[in-house]
Amino acid sequence: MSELVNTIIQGILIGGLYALFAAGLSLVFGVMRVVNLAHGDLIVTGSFLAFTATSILGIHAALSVVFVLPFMALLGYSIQRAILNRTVGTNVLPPLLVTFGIAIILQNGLLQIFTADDRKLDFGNIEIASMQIGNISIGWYSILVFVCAIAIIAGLQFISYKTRIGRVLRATADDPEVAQVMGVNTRHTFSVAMAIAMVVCGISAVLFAAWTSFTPLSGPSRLLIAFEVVVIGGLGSIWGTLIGGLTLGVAQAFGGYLNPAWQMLAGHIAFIIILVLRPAGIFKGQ
Amino acid sequence: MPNYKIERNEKYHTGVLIGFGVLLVFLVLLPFWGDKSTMRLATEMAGYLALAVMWNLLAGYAGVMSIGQQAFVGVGGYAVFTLAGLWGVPLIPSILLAGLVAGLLAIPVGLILFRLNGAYFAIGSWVMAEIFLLLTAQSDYLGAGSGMSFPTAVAKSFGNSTERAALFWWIALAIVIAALLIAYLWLRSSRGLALTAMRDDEVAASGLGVNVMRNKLQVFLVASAVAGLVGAILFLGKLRISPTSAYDVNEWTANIIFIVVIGGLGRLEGAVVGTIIFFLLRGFLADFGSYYLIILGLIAILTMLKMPQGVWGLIYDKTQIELFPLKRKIVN
Amino acid sequence: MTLLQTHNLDAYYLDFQALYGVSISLDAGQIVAIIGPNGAGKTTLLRSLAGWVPVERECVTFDDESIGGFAAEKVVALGIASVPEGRRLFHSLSVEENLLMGQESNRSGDWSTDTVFDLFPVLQGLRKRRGSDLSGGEQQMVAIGRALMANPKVLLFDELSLGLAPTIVGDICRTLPVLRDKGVSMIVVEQDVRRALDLSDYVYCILEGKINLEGESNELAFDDVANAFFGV
Repeated sequence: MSELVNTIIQGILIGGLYALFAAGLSLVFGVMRVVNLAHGDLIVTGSFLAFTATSILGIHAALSVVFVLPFMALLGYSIQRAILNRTVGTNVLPPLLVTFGIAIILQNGLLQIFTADDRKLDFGNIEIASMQIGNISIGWYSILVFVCAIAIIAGLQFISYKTRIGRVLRATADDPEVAQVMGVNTRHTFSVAMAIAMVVCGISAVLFAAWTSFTPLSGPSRLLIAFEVVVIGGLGSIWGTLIGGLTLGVAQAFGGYLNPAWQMLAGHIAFIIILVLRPAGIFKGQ
Repeated sequence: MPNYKIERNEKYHTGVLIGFGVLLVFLVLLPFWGDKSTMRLATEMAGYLALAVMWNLLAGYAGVMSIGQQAFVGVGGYAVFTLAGLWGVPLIPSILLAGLVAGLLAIPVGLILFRLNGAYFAIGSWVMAEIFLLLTAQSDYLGAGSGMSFPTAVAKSFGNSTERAALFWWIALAIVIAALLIAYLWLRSSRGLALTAMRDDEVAASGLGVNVMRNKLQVFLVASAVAGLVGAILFLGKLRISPTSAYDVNEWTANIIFIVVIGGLGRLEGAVVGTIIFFLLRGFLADFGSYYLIILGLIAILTMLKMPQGVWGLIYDKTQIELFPLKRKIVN
Repeated sequence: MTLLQTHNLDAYYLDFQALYGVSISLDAGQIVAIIGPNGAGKTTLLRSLAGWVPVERECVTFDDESIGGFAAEKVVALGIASVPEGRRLFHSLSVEENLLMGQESNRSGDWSTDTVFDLFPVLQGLRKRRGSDLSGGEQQMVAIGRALMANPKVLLFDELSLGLAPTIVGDICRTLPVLRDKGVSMIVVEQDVRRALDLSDYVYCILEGKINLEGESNELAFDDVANAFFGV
């Protein structure tokens, strides 16, 4: 029994991280109406960057964010400004095909540099330390990850509703043409949105890189998780995204509890069931 | 009342037909002038071309952007291994049944996934393919994660390796010709017009009486059945199948997307030109390892941004030749 | 003093030519009305001025500078703000946030949310409401307020009265002279001929992409304008 409770708590805690994967995807879709197929590979790029920074400089893994976040922001801004802006506002195919191309390039680029070996970031003692409540033990690292996830989602919410850039982003999402007539440089705004999304990806990349090992080929599974969370949670609601993340995390944990090989499968099946029962997601967006 | 009729661009029509005839004879006779490796390469090309023609029909004409066709390639491969390899069903019925199974599976899959629009459908189809992969990897009967080899005794019953190569080539040639004919006749018919209308504006098309859901499902079913056939013949040629190779998104979808985009999305000839370019590039870049996919990705992105009509679009703009005359013109 | 001018302006809507050699001119402190039937090219004219439609550089001058084909965000930064057809508020933003969007052009001046609320007191109580929850008239006020927040020299007003109740239209028309007194010149597209003549100093009538009548509003006879409108 306590093993099951443990599993579910673990699922909830990783669900926070899944919500972070999804938050970036959802932000980009919300503002640009583009589903970024390179999302997962960009997260993995962030993980490799953290890995490289940590192993070259010998710093603590958590400190690698000092390099990862600016780099991810810059990468996101540049990709949007140089490539993706040319496809915004066209029909659905060009942005999909172009981001798919980027995904393949990133994946194979990483493969070329880092080979297909498993890597993992080492956060030190916190990874094995745990909190004991009765029969239930919860790892401090999982708690740290969950708290970070909630904090970042709250931060995104704050940026969206309390800051000028958030207002401009929401306005541009509503009606890019009129935003431009108000004086907004929409090409810049789109790129800023991508940069913010990539910073969120960067944080989740570092956190996830210590949670489990990764290879250059891990991108698609990250993308699929992010996507499933967005659909489960319903578009346009950031707290819905959190609920979506928790749902997927718990579904995977429960599947893994029944049979370790069923973990990913359980997540996918939960997604299909919700898609059939509630096509607009648990939280229907506005 | 003026008398309108619809005319097609049939410039050089007889020439094109004679060309096709000569090419067909040449290809059918391949086992008599080519060696085993040529036949294998040709079989692979035919499989890719059939997939590309169908993906083009899906994305370029029906607006159904699937990144999950590897699901049906994999199902086809596993089906033929089970039917012919494990159950001893004769070769041709096994291959046809593999296509049938893949096509039938596409119906429930389509019914679920078509709840998602555009880009969301794309990733949803990918999730579906992952489910297929994970389920297959769970099945001990199908060799679980490590996959299965085609029983040598059964393989030998199809002939020695050269005879098999020839046999599989003829089957692959039949599949690709069927795929091209289906796509061509479909697009020539009024259903083809309905598809294009849907791609351009789903709401307006349904307002004009186009049953969008049914059309999408039909195309998806046919494309998936062809993917099953291709999976069956290509994995028979390899004599080995595993979940990761059967449901490989890069192999069966990324490559195919690149072929269609580079050749020309929404043009039947595009798939042909794209396949030729793809295999030429693969040949030239074979020594560069994974750089070859990087270069392919770059070419596809550049094509999408700078030349969205693709290589065939460029050729068409210069020459106005259509190998498969589809453009309609209303004349008085 | 001439503030904004077009010179033999040709403009295209998709593949169709919508304007043929249109020349209009707006003086500082003036209200110019553009009238004409649906599809005559009024909106395309306004869109050409606002930077939504690509046109030749020399065809539009503002303060003696050629600005034709400038991006919309550059045009508003120069001081030409727009009230688009159909209001087009940002529907997920509150009234106050919609107004603040008007400041994105970073032009300094006297306009603020408070002065907009002084002009349209009814908006004060609605400041936290979403744009999509307002009546048509209230939306039009927000759209005007939003454009004013850019502290514009010129206001481009598309379809002032379309879809609004007559009393609301009256209220809004009464604010135009107030704005003019505060130094805002205006180009107003309006379908109602009599109202256009009443509220403006100068009128252009457009038919099939060409100016077919123009003149001082108080010197033109209603019948002549009505005939020009219908191309009789």
